[in-house]
Amino acid sequence: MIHKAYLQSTDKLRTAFRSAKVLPSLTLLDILSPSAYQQVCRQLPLLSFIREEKSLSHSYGEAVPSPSLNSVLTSAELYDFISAITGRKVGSISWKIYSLTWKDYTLLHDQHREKAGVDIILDCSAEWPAPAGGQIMYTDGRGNVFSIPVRANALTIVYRSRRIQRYIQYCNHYAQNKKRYLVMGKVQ
Amino acid sequence: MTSLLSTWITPEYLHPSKITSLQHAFKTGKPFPSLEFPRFFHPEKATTLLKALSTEKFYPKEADLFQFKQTNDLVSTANPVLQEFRKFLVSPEFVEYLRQLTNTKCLPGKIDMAGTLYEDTDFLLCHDDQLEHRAIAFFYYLSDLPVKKGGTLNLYASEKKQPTTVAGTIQPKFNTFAFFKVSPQSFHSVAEVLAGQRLAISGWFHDT
Repeated sequence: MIHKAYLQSTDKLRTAFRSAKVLPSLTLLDILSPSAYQQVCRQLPLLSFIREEKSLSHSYGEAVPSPSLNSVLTSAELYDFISAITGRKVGSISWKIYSLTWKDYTLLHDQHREKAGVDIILDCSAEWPAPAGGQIMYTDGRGNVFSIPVRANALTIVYRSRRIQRYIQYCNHYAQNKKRYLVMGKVQ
Repeated sequence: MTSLLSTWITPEYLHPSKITSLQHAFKTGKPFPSLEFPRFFHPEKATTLLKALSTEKFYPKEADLFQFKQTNDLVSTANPVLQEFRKFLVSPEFVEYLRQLTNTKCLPGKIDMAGTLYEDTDFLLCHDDQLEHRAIAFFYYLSDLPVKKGGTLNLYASEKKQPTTVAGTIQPKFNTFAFFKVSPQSFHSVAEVLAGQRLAISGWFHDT
């Protein structure tokens, strides 16, 4: 399921993951084999997305993975791979699927700071136009902002310390009626 | 009304009976106290201000809540036209005029103001503007933008300190002066600009 080249170089990837001082992170392009990625992509539009809209904090569609999607997301291969890169045994990951389109966003909130942890992001935005925004941004509150590239079939692993918070940049009108799907997990 | 006010403001907004009706309109404004004055300043003043603002440098501003371009605070502008405009807005005469309309006491001489420019995809998401000492938020539009091109100032109704739906709108129109009272209910946003430019001078009058 995971690209062989990545499975054979986990030591190097772990070193790369840890090398960034402020935001330990790694983005791996073409992470899934074409067939596995297609399997995931086919299922995403079929999920029951619920619109979540609160003007002061967010606007997006949210769904839980279907059983067949779960079989990919909870596979031993993926868990072992993430454990190898992060250097910590992953017990479980809570997954949610987000569907973003024009006018969607999430905002930072001083009162609802997330606990430190590891984020896993599988980008499934094959049709998303590049100028449409919707990038995942990490900020340390000191003016440093880190942007996760919008790339289909890319897996990003981020260690988020207490002072690092995440938001999703506003999706602008270039999105038209396209959807940006993000499979996002938090290591428990 | 003093000669300073009439130097800038068109006569229709200075007539005592008009002021009385505007006081009522502000007080009963929905979803929260606000007013919009088309053709507020003398046309030649508006044209001169547009020309002056166009020479200022605009810097991109980007965060989770917004994306647009902004000048430095105009307190530091070297442009005499903009200096004169700022001096007028903070004058005791204009601050008193604003007090009459809004029943809100603002401090003469104290104001934050900058030029703002919204272009394709620029936006400002919903927030209440509340920050210590901000009393009145204002916008002076120096461009026209039809609804289909975005840039609308949306005013939100609220319930339990949360914005609910857009209950009022102000569309940018050249030489329109708009303002609202800053409060825990003054939720507003600027709709994404889809084409064209939304140029304005905006800021806040302070109460202390």
